[in-house]
Amino acid sequence: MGIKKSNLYIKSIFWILMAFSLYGCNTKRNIDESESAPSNTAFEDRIIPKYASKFHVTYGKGFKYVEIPEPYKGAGQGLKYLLVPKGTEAPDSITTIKIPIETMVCTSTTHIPFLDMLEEVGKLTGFPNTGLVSNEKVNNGVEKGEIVELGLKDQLNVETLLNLAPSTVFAYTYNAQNQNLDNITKAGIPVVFTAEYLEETPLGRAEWIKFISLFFNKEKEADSIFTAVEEKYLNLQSIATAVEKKPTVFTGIDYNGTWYMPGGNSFIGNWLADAGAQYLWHSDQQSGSLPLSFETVYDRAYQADYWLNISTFNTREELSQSDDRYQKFKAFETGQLYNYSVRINENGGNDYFEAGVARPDIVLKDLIKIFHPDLLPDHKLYFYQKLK
Amino acid sequence: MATAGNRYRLKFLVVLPIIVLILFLLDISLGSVHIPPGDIINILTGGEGEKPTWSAIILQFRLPKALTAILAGAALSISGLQMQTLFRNPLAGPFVLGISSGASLGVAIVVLAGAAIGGVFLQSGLNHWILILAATAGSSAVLFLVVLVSLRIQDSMGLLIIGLMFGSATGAIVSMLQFFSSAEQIQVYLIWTFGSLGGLDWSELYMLLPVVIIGIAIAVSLIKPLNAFLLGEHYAQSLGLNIRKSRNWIIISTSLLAGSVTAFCGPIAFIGLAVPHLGRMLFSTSDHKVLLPATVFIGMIIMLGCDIVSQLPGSQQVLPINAVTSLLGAPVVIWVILRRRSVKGAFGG
Repeated sequence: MGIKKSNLYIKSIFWILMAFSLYGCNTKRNIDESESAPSNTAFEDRIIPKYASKFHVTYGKGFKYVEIPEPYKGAGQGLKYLLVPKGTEAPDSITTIKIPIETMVCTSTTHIPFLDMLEEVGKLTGFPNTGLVSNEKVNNGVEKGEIVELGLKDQLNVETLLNLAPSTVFAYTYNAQNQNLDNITKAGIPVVFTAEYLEETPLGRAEWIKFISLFFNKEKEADSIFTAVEEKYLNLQSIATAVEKKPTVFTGIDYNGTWYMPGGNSFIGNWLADAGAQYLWHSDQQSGSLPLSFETVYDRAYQADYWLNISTFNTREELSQSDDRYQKFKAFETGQLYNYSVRINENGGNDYFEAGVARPDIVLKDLIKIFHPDLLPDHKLYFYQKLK
Repeated sequence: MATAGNRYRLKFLVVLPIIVLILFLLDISLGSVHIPPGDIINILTGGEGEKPTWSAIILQFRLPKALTAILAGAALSISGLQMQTLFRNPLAGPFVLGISSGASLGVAIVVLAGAAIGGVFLQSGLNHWILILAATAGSSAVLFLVVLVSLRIQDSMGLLIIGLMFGSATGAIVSMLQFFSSAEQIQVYLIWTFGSLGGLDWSELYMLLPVVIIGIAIAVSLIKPLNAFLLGEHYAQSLGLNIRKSRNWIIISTSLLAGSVTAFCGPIAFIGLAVPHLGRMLFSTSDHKVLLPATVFIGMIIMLGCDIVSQLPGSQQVLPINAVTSLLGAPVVIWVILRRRSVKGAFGG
C-alpha cells in the first residue's frame, strides 16, 4: 500500500480518505473507474441469482462487480467488491479481488459444501473450528495438514491466517464490529462477507453456490449444479404441495419462558410449507424469529400433528423431564417428534447446517417423508430422526 | 413511636396483602392469550373453560408463573433486607456474597464449556434441570469459600469485600469462557442471565416452595438480632448477642432464599436491592418487626407487577424479566442515592 511509517499524519489522512472513498462512492462511479482498467477479458459464463436476494452481480468488460446490500441484519451500508483477472491494475476505492483465486480461508461451514460441489476444496488452506466440519474432503485435508486450524470462529488466530496469506477470506458477521477481520483487511487480504444466512428461502441459500463460483470463474458449473438442485427441489415441492391434507406443524422448544418460533417468511417456514405441511405460524410474515411466550405456543400448537426441530433432545423422556408441560402437546402423545440430529459429529458439528444449506432438496425430502411418508416410500431420513 | 404510627403501619400491612391478591389475580388473567374473566373463575374453581387449552394455560402456565413471581419477589427482597442490615450498607443486595456470580459460573461452565468437557450436555439436550443443578452447585461452591474465609475475619465489612472479590473473580472466569465460546452457546447463556419466571413447571415449583419457606422462617426468627445489628456490631455484642452465630444464620437464610430463586429463575436483578428501601420509605421505620413483613409483601407486589409488564398483555411476545426489573429498579436506587442522608439515618449510622 506504500504507506511510509515515518509520517503519522499522512498515514491517518490516507486512512480517512480511504474510508471516505470506500463508503462515499456510489455504484456508478465504481463501474466507470473499473471500466478504464486495461484488461478486456470478457466473462462469457454469467449467472443471475433467481432466488437469492442478498447478493447482486454486474458483469463488465474485464470485471465483475459484486454487491452485498445487507451483509448482516440491519446493516446500514452495503458492501461492494470488484473481481478482476490477474494482472489488472486495481482501483484503490473498492476492495478488489484478483480472480480466479488461488487459496482461500472460510469461516463458515456453510461455505464448505459449495466448495466441494465446485471441486475447489483444494483451494481451502485454513478454517476455524475444524472439529465442527462434517465434510469428508475437508476433514481429510485437515488430517493431512493441508487445511490449517485457525482457532475459534469468533476469535480467529490472525497471525496463523496472515501466515497462510490466502487470496481471499470468506467470512460472515452478525454485526459491524469485528476487530480480527478488520486486522486481516488492514494487512491487505480482502475479506468477503457472505450473507446466505439472511436469505428467506432454502433455494435462496443454496443459490449462493453461484456467488462462490464468481471467484473461481466457475459460473457455468455452479449454474448447472444449482439448476439440478433446483429441479429436484421444485419437483418434490410440487408433489408435496399438491396433497390436500396438510398436517399442522410447529418447531423449537422453550428457553426459560421464551419460545423462539421462526417467522412465517423465514427459510424454515418456507421449507415446511414447501413440504406440504401447514406451519402454524405461516401467516406471520416475519423472516426472523418471534420471541413467544410458552402459553401462546401452547394455545396455537397443542393440537398440532407434528413437532419438529426439538433442539438436541433425543428421547421423549428427556424432553418431558426438561419440562412437564411438553407432555400436553398432542404431538408428544402421538410421538410425532423430530430433530435434525442424525448427522452430528463427535464435536457437536451438525451436517444439517452444512450440507443442508447447499442441498435443500435433501432436507425437503426428509420433511416430506415425515409429513407424507407414502409419497416417498423409498427415502430414508438423512438429517432428521424421530425422538425415541 | 406513638400508637398512631403503629396503627398506620398495621393498616398498611392489611392493605399490602390485598394488593398482592389483586395483582396475583391480574397476573393470572393477563397474558398473550385472551381468556375471559368468567372462564378464569370457572377454571380456578375446578370447572372447565370454553376452550380446552384455557384450563392448561391457567393451571399449567400462569398459575406456576404467578406463584414463582410471589416466591421470588418475597425471597429476593428478604435476602436483600438481611444483607443491607448485616452490612449496614444501603447498596448491599442478595447477591453481595457471590451467590449469583457463583450460579452464573456454574451455568457458564455447563453451557459454554459443556462441549469441551466431553459434549455430554450437548448430546443429551440442555435440560432445565442441568441448569438448575449447575447454578446450585456454582453458588454453593462460592458461598462455601466465602463462609470459609469469613470464619477467619471479625467484622462484616471484610466479608462484604470478600464476597465482592469472589464475584469479580467468577465474573472473570465467565468472560474467559465466553471469549472461547461460539455465538450460539453465548446466546443460551445470555438467555439464562435474562432471568425468567415462566420456566418453572409444577414439579420445579414444589422444590422451590419448601426452600423459600424455610429461608423465610429463619429470617423471621432473626428479627431481634437483625434489629440489634442496626446498632452496630459492638453495640449488638454488648446487648448479649452472639454475633457470629447470628451472622451465620443470616447467611444461611440469604443463601437458601437467593440461591434457590437464582437456580430456578436465573439472576433476577434489582428486586433484592430496591424493595427493602421501598419498605423503609413507605413505613419510615427500620424496625424489622414491621420491615420484614412489609418487604415480603412489597417484593411480591413488585415482582408480580414486573411479570405482568414482561408478558406485554395483548401481544404474543414476551420481554425478559430482568430488563423489566432493572428498568423499574434503577430509578429507585437513583432516588435512594439522591436521598442518601435519610437512608443513612435508617441504618442507624
